[in-house]
Parts: sequence; structure tokens; C-alpha cells
Amino acid sequence: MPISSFSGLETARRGLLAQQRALEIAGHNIANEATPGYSRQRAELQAAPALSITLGGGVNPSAQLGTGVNLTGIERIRDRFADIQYRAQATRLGDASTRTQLLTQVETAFAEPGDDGLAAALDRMWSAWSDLANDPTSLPARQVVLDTTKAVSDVYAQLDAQLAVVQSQALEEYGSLTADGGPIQLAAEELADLNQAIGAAYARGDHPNDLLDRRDLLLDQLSAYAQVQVQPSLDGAGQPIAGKVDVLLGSDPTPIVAGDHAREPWALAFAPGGPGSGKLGALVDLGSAGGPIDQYRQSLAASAAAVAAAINALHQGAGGPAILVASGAAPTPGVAQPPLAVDAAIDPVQGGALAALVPGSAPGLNDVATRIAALRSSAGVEQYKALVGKVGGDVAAITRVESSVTSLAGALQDRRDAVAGVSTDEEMADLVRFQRGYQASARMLSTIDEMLDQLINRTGRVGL
Amino acid sequence: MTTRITGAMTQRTLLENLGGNARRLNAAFEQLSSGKQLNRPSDAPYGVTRAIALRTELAEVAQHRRNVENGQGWQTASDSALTSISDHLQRARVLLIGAGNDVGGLESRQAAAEEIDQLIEAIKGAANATYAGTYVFAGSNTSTPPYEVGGGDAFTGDGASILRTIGPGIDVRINADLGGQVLGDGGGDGKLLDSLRQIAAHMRGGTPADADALRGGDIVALDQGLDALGALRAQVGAAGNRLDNAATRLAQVEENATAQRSKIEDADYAFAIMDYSTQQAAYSAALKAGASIIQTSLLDFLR
Repeated sequence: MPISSFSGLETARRGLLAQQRALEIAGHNIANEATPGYSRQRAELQAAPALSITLGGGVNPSAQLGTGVNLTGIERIRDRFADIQYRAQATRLGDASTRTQLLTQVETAFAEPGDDGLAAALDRMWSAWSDLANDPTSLPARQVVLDTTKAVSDVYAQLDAQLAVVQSQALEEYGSLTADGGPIQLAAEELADLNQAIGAAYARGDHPNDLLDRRDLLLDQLSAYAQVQVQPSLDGAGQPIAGKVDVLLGSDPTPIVAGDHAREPWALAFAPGGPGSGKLGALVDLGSAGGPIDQYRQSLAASAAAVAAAINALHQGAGGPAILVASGAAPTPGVAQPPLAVDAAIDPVQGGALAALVPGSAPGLNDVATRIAALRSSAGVEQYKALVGKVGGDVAAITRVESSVTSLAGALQDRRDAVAGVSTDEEMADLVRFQRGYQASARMLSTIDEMLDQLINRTGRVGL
Repeated sequence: MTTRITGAMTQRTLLENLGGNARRLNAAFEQLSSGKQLNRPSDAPYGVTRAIALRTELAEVAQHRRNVENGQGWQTASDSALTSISDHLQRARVLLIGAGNDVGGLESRQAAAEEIDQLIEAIKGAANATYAGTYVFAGSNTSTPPYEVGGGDAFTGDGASILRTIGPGIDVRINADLGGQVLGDGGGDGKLLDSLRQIAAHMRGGTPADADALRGGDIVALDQGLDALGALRAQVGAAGNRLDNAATRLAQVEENATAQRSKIEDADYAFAIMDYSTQQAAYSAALKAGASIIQTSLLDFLR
């Protein structure tokens, strides 16, 4: 088959166009080098369909003449498996960093070891009893016993109140994250919009790379809140719809985004045990009954009750009134509940009398005060020390978990970046390559042009 | 597998490492500036419970030392009162022996009896010794004088023990039952005050029976009283020795506990400073490396 004299022009034009597009794609990559969630794109170049030409001789009667290059697509380079791994790690990181942050506040509230903690307040109270034992008839010594006892009940109350504040902070943060108009709801709305746009693009035969990047970024962000599960949206016939996904969050059994629609009206319905993972899971665990902070408060109340019971048993055994009254009720999450109060009978402010403090089994004796002072290492005090050890151990453990999860998440992010990230050096090399390609195609065009000039303007002018 | 290294990866690695270095630098700085290696329970959970236990022990030792000092003050007051009672009794014995030999006749016996009466009042005054406002020989009835000076000889105190705790579970009795064991209630109970009253009466009496008593039974009774007083002084002295020993021991315990607490809580400065310099060097190196790596790219070499 004969071919047109101008086919070389077409070949050069295709080359110019393809190199230009490839340059533009490199430019897009460079421009988005710092865009969060961006995956690099690559021009898919393919040789254009060849023309069959008849050969003048040889073994084969015809051959294929290439006609240059075509841009067949713009590929988004991304490792879907790395995405899934990264999101699982992001969920663990959300959990660990939330716990670290809140438990560090708990730890600070204890103010141990130091002169401001409960251990020091208890020590001062035992010493005051010992001083009363040295001077059993003294009213000032009784006043000091009363003051240090009040200080102990105050420190117990402050500690409990600070733990309750951390609980209520956790519950408030959970509330604001999951509220209508909160970040999760906004992300769900945007995901629904993106589903619609991506679905429409797929229906046209497009690959909406930048929209897919945006959707993956939102899913990354959501996975810090709780475990994210993504599954294809199904149409009425049970067939997957191209480009659309349903998104499940945490232990909520129904998708928060289904196809083009976010949940409406907005309400998250997690399983009774809470979201189960991520920042939301940690917040619910820390803020509610049975969680670690609730257990700390229970141990604190148990220590207070044991201290009160030990003192009261000795004091009441000698015919005196109770010294400390333990509340005994289980702590309510987020609500401060002083575990101890000074009994009214020994407090002049509450209508009692200092004289009601009994230092000895008979007037002038000091055996009761001596035995109370010897409670310095009694069960309640040991329980408190064990609690401080437990809080310290928990914080140390979760801090280690956080740092290991952070480095794992960093490694997985690196793995994703190794595939999807933009390397400026690589794009620079591409720029040079495609620029050279463009220059060469342009030279090809002018060569053909000169050739045709030879044919059109200079041929058939013999003798002119 | 060849890993592509992108700009974002280099930057993130740099930031992570800088962050890690800065955290370690800050931890080293915190140790240096606070002088403590334990600043919060999570720094060393077991160490913190040990530190709290040692702080409790130190507070307890400090309290026991205060108890010991209080007991020593009490013991000094008792001891000096007992010494003066002993002196008075020695004087009474001299008078008794003089009266028994009847050196100066009735007149001088009368005068001696007067002096014995004065000595009785002086002894009761000494028995009313106080320490910081409490009557040390009154048993548990510490707010009332045990004897009425210038009145009857009835003892208003009791034999109760006054204890000071000088160690965990170690109590020392610091008072002595002077009234019950030595001085007595008067009125024929055979104790010292009664004996002295008898002696004064015999001195004034002047019958041969009185003279016999002065030479015989009264001396025996007075010597018995002196023996009882000696035993009591030995008891007080023994308690004083226990208190002195306890003071020495408590000082040692305090020193040990302070050293242990310091070992657990306080920063090792040599180590902390070395750590700080190491971390600082690492931080500067990371900064420098980051600055030079991020600067260069292919861009620098393309025309």
C-alpha cells in the first residue's frame, strides 16, 4: 500500500504532542511534590499503529512502518497493599498517642516522687499522730493532727478530681470528634462527594487520579480515629459499581459512607464495647467505667477506705469517734467524688471538738496515738504506692508502644513513598529526557519540511 | 528491591531523627537542671515506689528522732529530780543518825524534825518535776501535780507507763513510778514519805521507844527507801541509755536511707553531663547533615 508523502509530518506531530504531555505530567508531579497524599503520575507511551507498506523486493512482500508515538494513558502509581498496612498502623498510632497524652496527665496529677504528693501528706499525718503521742494532753498537737488529716483527705480529693477531669476531657473530645459537623462527619461528606465524582469519571472511562489521591488521604486520616474498612459499593443487582466504595468505621456495623451518600442523619452506632480501636477507641476506654483511669480511681478509693478503716478501728476501739469517713461509692466517670472526708465530731469548724481526739486508752496515755502513728506502712499506704507503680508502669509501657508504632508507621509511610512519592531528581531527569525528545521531534519536523521543500519548490525546474 | 528515595522521605526521616534527638537532649537537660533522674513515675515505675518507700522511711526516722529527743528531755528532767530527792534523803539519813545518837538532846531533835519536814516538802516538790508542762512522775495523770506541797502525802498520779516509739514496733518507757514504788501515799504504807513522817514523829517523841526506833527500824526503813530510789534511778538511767543508743542508730539509718534515696532519685551528674554533651553533639550532627542533604539536588547540576 502506498503511503502519503506527509506521513512523516504526522509522525513528528505525534512525537511533539506526546513529549509535550509527558513534560506537562512531570510538571504536575513537581508542582505536587509536597501535596499530602499525592501519588506520582506517569505518561503511558505506546508506539502508534503501524502502516503496512509494500516492499519492492526481498523475501517478504510487505513490512510495517511505524508512525510514531501515542499517549495511551496517565497512570497513578500506588501500592494498594501498603495503603492497607499503613492504615492499620495509623489506627494503632491514634490509639497509642491518645493514651500517652491522657495518661501522662494522670501521671503528672500524682506529683510523685515529691513533697507535694499523697505519700508526703500521709507521712505528715502519721508524724502529727506521733507528736500527739509525745504530748497527749496538748490541744495544739490535736490541731496539727486535724490539719494534716484534712490535708490527706484534700489530696485524695484533688487526685480523684484530676483523674475525673482527664476522664471528662476524653469523653468531651470523643463527643466533639463524633458530633454532627465534627471532623469525621465532614470527612464522610467529602468521601460521598468524591465517590460521586470518581464514579462519574469511571463511567466516562477516565481515571481521576487526583480525586483518588484525595479519597485515599481522607481514608488515611479517618483510620487514625478507628479502624477503616473499605469495600466496593454494589448496585441494585449486587454488582460492584466502578470507582465507588463503602466505608466502615470501627465497630459500627453499617457503612458511614455508602456510594454517593454519607450517613444521614449523622450518628455513629458503635458496638457496646466502644469503637474498639484508634483514637476513638482509646478515648472511650479512658473515659468510661472499667477503663484504666476508672481502675486508678477505684484503687485510690480503696486505699483511702483502708487508711480510714485502720485509723478509725484504733480510735473507735478506744472510745473515740471516727476520724475519717470513706465515701465507699464506686466512682462515676468524669465526676469528681472525694474518697475521704474528716469526721465532723473532731472538727470544730463542723461543730465537733478537738478534745474528741483520743490519744490513749486512758486520759494521759498515748498508746492509741502511738499505734495510729505506727500505721505508716499499713495496707492503705501500700495500696497507694502500688497504684503509683502501676500508673508509672502503664505510662512507660504506652510511651514505648507509641514510639515503636510511630517508627513502624514512619517505615510504612516510607514504603508508600518509595512507590508513590515524587522524587525531584527523577522528575528533573524526565524533564531533560522529554525536552530532548521534544527537540528531536521538532528537528524531525523541520527535516521533513526541508525534504518536502526540496520536492515541491526545487523539483521539476530543470533548466529554469 | 531498589527503594526509590523521595524528597518527602528524606525530610520525614530528618524530622523524625531531629525530633528524637531533641527529646533525648531535653531528657538529659531535665536531669541536669532538676538534679533528679526520677521526675515522674514512668521514668522508673519500680524506682519511684522505692523512692516513695524511702521517703516514708525518712519521715518515720525523723519522727522517731523527735520522739527520742522528747524522751531524752523527759529523762533528763526525771533524772535531775531523782538526784535531788536522793540528796535530800542523804541529808535526812545524816539527821536521823545524829538524832539516833542523841547528840544535842530534845532541842536539837526538834530542830532535826523541823528539817525533816522541810525535806519532805522538798522531796514532794522534786516529785512534781515537769517537762514541757507535763508532770513527769504523775503516770497518766500528767496535768495534775502528783503531790500537794504543804498538804497531805496522797499520791494523785498512777502507775501507768508513758511510752515513746523509737523504732518500728520499739517502745521505750520513759517515766518512772516514783509515787507508787518509792514515795508512797503516806498514812502507814511503809514507803518513803511515811517513813520520813515516822522519823520526824519519833524525833519529836522523846520516849525510849522513839529513841529505839530512831536507832533501829527508822534507819532500816530509810535505807529500804534509798534502795528503792536507787533501783528507780537505775531504771531511768537504763531508759536513758536506750534512748541514746536509739539516737545513734537512727542517725545511721537516716544516713543510709538518704544515701539510698539519693542513689535512686538523684541524677549522676558526671553521667548526666556526659549524656548531655553526647546528645548535643548528635543533635548538631543531625542538623548539619539535614541542612546539607536537603540543599543538594539534581537541580544544582543542570544548566
